[in-house]
Amino acid sequence: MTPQSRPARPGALARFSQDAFWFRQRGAALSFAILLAMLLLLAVVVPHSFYSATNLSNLAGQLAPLFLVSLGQTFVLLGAGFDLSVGAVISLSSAILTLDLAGPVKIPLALAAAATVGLVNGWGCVYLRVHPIIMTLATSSIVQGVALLLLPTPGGVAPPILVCMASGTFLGLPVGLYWIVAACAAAIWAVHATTYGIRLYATGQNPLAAWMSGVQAPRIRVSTYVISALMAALAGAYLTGRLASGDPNVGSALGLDSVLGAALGGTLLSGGVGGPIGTIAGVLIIGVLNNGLNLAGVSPYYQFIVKGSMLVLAVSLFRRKEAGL
Amino acid sequence: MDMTSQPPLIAVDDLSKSFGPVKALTSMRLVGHAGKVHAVMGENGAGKSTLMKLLSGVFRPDSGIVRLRGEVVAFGHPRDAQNAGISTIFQEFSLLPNLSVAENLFLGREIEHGRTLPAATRRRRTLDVLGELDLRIDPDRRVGSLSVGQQQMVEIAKGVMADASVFIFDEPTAALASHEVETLFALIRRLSAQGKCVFYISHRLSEVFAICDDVTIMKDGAFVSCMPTAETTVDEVIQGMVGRPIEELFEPRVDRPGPVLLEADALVGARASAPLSLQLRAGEIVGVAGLEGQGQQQLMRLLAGFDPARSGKLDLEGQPITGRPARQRMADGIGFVPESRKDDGLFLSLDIGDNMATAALARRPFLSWAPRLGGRIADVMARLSVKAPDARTPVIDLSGGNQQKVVLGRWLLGGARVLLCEEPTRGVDVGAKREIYRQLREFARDGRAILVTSRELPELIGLCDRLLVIRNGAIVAEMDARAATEDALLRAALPDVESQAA
Repeated sequence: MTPQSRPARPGALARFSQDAFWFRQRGAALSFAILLAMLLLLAVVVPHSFYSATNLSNLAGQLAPLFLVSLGQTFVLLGAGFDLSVGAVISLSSAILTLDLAGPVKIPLALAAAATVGLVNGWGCVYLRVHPIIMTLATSSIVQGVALLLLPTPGGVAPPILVCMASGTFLGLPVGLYWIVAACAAAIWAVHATTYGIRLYATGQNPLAAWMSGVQAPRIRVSTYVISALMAALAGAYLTGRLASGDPNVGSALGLDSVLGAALGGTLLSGGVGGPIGTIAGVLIIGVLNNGLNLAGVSPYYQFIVKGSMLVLAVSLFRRKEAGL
Repeated sequence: MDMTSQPPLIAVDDLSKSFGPVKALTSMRLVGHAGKVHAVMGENGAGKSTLMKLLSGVFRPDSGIVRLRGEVVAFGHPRDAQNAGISTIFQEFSLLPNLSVAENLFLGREIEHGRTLPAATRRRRTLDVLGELDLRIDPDRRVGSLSVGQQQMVEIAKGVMADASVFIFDEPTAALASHEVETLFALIRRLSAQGKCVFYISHRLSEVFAICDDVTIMKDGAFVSCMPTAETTVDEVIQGMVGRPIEELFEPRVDRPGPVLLEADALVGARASAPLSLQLRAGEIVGVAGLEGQGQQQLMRLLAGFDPARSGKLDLEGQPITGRPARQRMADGIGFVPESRKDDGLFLSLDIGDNMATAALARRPFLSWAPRLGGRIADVMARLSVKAPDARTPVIDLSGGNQQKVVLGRWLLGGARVLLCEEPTRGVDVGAKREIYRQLREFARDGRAILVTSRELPELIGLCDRLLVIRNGAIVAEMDARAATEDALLRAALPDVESQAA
């Protein structure tokens, strides 16, 4: 027996490629570095307006829905899927929550509707083998249609409990922050502390190998679409409460931004690498960027240009080949 | 043939498996004893891998019985086989490169007695198993960052952890460095000393004689013989693997080849491991023989121009074409018939005419008018007797043999002088084989030359005039096909056979 030499304790940099956990999170490290650089830059350029309590509190309130959908999208991407329908599900949830029904009925109804959309997405992608982009594009159109049928124009009354939960402050902190912290904690727990998380990484990397190891890869993949849709429904609930009324188009911009947040955080669109920790950085980058450009007096239209350029940059930086997979 | 008084640990009887019309395995039998290393040998395509995939639950048999410790077992899923104690180390690993060693070992079995095992427990047990195998690998290490040999050790550790009693190694040394092979052999010996039954699939004779107790030989998906390695010889094993009469399928050979058409001189490609020198003469069919994946494909693609040459010289009819890319070489008259016809060779949704016209059109400049080739296409179709109503028939509707004729027809129409042909009869039936052999011979007889690769040695011997044997990317032997035998080819193609045979 020739004993193999024990690898020397890897240095900090080598850990990112050798240690499995850090390898999967190495995109997140880069994203946090970019975020930090942006925050430092803002401290120099617009210190008082950015780091004011009012601005940060506003930022938390604005970013909560994006956090929810991006974290949901992260699950789908980790499983090597893609969910374009989250924007429509947000709108549907808003439409259902402002229906002329009793509040206690509407909230479970909105969640059930979202879960159904997620199941249909997963079933189409996994069992009918429709490409995820086509499948979720199709359901997106259907769901948006249903939302408009239920609520043709913005209006309606949000359940008071949602209004209460989505506006103002609680214990001196903006309520949006609680939504963000709860969603992040739940996502990080599910991905990093449960067997579901490991099976999700395995499935996204290679569903066949995962299946041969006894993982129910198809079910895992379906579950990611359900999680994504439920997160979108919660984002819809938050937005409805924040606006105190419904809007059948409220989610339309968030569908692609959810992918942007996850991708900027280092989650690979090909699955199996990345995770919710990186998504936190990704969403914060988007939020801080928009906010900072506003404060610096840059035309909001530049935000679109900058966001698009960053997506190209992120996807080319976090390439699969360089990941050695 | 029972070698011990003990009942076998695993016994396979009358196992058969077909894929569509192709019989991969017919009435196969195999017996494995505890504490023995049992080699399964056969030529490429003899059905070794199919047999092992049946044992590991990847495929389900059409008929036949597998007994484990005397009890009949049937596996519907790889997990069933693993639970029954059969662990397979495949050529292509089933490990997840983005997970750590510990995560891979426990994937799918993180829950024990209804409780999820804590990460610390999984890590400790991983260390235990790795220690048991004398492996020093960090359990948190990402599997994708390990060497191929270490990954294989992790696969074995997976089986040890699952307390498997039967280990199947499918060509385990194919991708290993020599010091890793030593480690692997030590592990295999250790497993058999612990009373495990080890099946060792390989066509490396030296390895089989080095570590195996028994050897089962298969040919054409069927059982040939089973004997203790101590009671047999390299010659006997090779005889068992090949000894089949060459079917009378072939055309007469060329008497005297003409002038040199294609000449490579010390040509080195970007992906090649050795410089390549060869000559193809007019009228000749030259075969490239070798075990699977010894560089046949790189050789063909280097000549065709898909891989750029780094150094050396390539001449076509005396004209240097070394620096010309693939598209220009096609226009110069080098045709290429790829191994996977459907992926690389044909546009399945287009019709016969369009598929045949591509090579003729490659000569024409970009955006020039595409001429109607209808008459010439009809001539070629008639000459090759393509079975289709007309040139408008989509290629997807044709049989494998007729599709292959369309690819040949493309190069006839395109005026190719030299044809590089990979696996000409892959996936075609015997009748179509004979037809393709005849077409290739006629193609060559008109003053053209063909270079052929094939996994089937009898085919190469029967079809070709001259044979080159390739091993590790280098041409190691050349023989006249008239005098060549499968035995001699296999000897030249097998690594390290000399030391054993001597």
